[in-house]
Amino acid sequence: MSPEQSDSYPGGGPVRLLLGNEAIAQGLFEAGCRLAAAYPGTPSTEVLEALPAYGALDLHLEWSVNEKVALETASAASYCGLRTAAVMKQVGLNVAMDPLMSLAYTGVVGGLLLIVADDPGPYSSQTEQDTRFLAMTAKVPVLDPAPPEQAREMVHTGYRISEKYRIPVILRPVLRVCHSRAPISGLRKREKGKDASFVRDVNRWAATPSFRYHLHEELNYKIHSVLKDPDVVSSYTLSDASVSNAPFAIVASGLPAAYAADILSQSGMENEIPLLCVGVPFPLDKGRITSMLDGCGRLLVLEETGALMETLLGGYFDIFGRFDGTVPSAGEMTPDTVARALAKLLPEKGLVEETYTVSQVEEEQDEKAVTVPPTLCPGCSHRASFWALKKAMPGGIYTGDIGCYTLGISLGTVDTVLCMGASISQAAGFFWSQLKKDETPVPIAAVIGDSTFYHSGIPALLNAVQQGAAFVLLILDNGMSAMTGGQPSPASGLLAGGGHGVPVPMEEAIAGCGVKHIKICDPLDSDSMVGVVEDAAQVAGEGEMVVIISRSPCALIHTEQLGPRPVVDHEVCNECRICTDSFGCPALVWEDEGLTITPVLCTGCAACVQSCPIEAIMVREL
Amino acid sequence: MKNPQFSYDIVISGRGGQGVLFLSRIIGEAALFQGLMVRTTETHGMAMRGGSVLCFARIGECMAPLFRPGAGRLLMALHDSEVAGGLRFLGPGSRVLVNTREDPKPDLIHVDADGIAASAGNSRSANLALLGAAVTLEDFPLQEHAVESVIKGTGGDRITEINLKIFRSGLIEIGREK
Repeated sequence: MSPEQSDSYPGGGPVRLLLGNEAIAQGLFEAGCRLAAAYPGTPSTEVLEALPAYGALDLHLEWSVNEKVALETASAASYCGLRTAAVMKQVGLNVAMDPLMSLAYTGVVGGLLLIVADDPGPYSSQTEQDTRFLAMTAKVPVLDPAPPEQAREMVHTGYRISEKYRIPVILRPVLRVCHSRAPISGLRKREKGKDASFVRDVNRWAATPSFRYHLHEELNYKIHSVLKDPDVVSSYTLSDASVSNAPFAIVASGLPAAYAADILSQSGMENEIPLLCVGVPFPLDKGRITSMLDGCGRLLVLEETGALMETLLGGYFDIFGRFDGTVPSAGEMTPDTVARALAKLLPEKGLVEETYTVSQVEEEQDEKAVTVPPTLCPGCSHRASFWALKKAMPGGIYTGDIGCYTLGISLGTVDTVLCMGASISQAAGFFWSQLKKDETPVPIAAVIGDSTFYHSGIPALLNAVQQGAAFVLLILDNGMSAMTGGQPSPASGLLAGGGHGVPVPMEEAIAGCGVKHIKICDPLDSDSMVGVVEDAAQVAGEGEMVVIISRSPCALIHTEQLGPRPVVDHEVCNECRICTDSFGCPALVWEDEGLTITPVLCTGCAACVQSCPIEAIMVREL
Repeated sequence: MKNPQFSYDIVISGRGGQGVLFLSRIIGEAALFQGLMVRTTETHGMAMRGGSVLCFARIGECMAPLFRPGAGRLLMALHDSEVAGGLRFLGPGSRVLVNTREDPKPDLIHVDADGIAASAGNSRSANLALLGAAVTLEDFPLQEHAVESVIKGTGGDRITEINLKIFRSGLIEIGREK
């Protein structure tokens, strides 16, 4: 890539209504990012997805097989002086923690931005963990944006800090930043980066423990120096309210700062309660905060999701926050939480408003107000796979994994969900737990999706086989990461930036793990699927590992009608409700005339036919 | 307590797959078209799989995409069982638009959005009938021409014509009920 080519990326264009993630992608493009590697995960996925549209030929994009690989790949490009990004959700950082801890020591050359999206709530995650604490553990700066426009600015800030101090920088948007839209001004001209050049420095890039000690000292110096950086200093902003007369001051970072600003101004209190917003919560400049708030001894600390600033400011101020219960210690922070926290400290202000009551309607609605939980989509082949599993291996222990198929819980075929890949290791653990018993062992089946299998199932399978564990592993292969919107799996060979790489077939990976029995079947062909699982259970019972690849495309992405819609024979139907209670396809509903199949929802997969024990649901050939 | 210079806050409730997200997008784009500040939120991932979905749109000056219970001015419920989920965000004097075929209840504005959309030929666009009804509310900040202009930019010619028809039918429907 020659510098001249960069000039073909002019700035300008209209203001666009962008998602926070898209605003971050725009920032990456503008800042001249040359490599972005990600593993999909809500709420981070759209960052990488938004990048191909910019058409930057000098930008390598990839859906890496997992987050650790994404960060490691980005680190080497950064060693070469290029601006790089690794993008993931908060639990993905757990997987990438190994390279991050070490990368903080080696440092970087080209700016390295680690974009980690947190999910307070949680809405689509196993934990509510606060990435800022992991930044503190690794001793790297973390930027905490509030609105999308700030997230885009912080991409630029993050790169400046990363390159100036040669340190990886974390940008930590929370879900409400990633998935909210705001007007974002037109493109800035893409920055020209350096050409890639790797300068050998063995004592840094391949440092042995004695050099690691020196790198640790260097890291301590860097993280201390960052506090004096003009970008970091200017990230501390104090509102106009007088500090000395205030009953307390608010110190806030991220979205809670925006909630506080809205509430103070809407309640006409912006001149009464000082609000100090912190853009870089780690490293935190306690000296700057104490001097900015000189004369005010009491603080309300508002931050998401843990108590990072509250911990760091303890001893300097009397603090209202999570530790004294002013702010709840779990769940998403919302304007309501902030208003309630303020109301506890300012009871006379009437900050928690009465909400609307619509005569008697509300009462009536309250009875109806059962929040509907998510379910597998109509026509989802996972439902058919789970049904076959339940039929062929009743009474088994079913270890589950992370993906849409976690929703198999409602079919009674998911007993455990721990983290990515754990279905396989936990199945092995259950297998070894049963060896000591004299009773007949309970059959064990692990269920994992294709992307999750590639992500971290492969080492688990290799380990289980090598140790001699035996169970049925059912891989639900729809060819993509379906929950996050259909990113291609390695089996497809499709690349994030478009074009084709080299497909890595799942069967070959499984065989490479030492598995002798591999079956491939179509879950929508229910009779043969049940037979395959029964045979597999028998082989596993004899002490051999069996892998079944249950292969069928995602119904959400492939929306074409699969066949004629089944019909219900109301003469035969005895309303046992197994089809709706146990099978549970959303297309099956009870109307006044009995069971009906909703035309707009039914995909014609006909998997429901097998769910009826008395053949009241059938497909009539046209 | 409510200051008119602050944002007009909207709650949109429905089920995954009903176009809650699309509706918040149209509202956002129409506000942008009128040169107004706007912030919206979306729901992705696990929660979108047929479950209850709440989205928020704020038109006017604000810092955050969420607002507190009692601040909302309008609830647009795409499913009649999802009214209660959004009600707590509304304050006194606010309006509730519900997509339902049932007989009107006091204080709720009923719109047979599903019926309008189906008879126009695109049952996926019931959300636009509800938006048509919203535009007729006296304090709703979006103008008919802005919404129409955004709808015109969203699809092919045939779908756009149908969607415009659905949106305009919403306008007429509510005009009749007033």
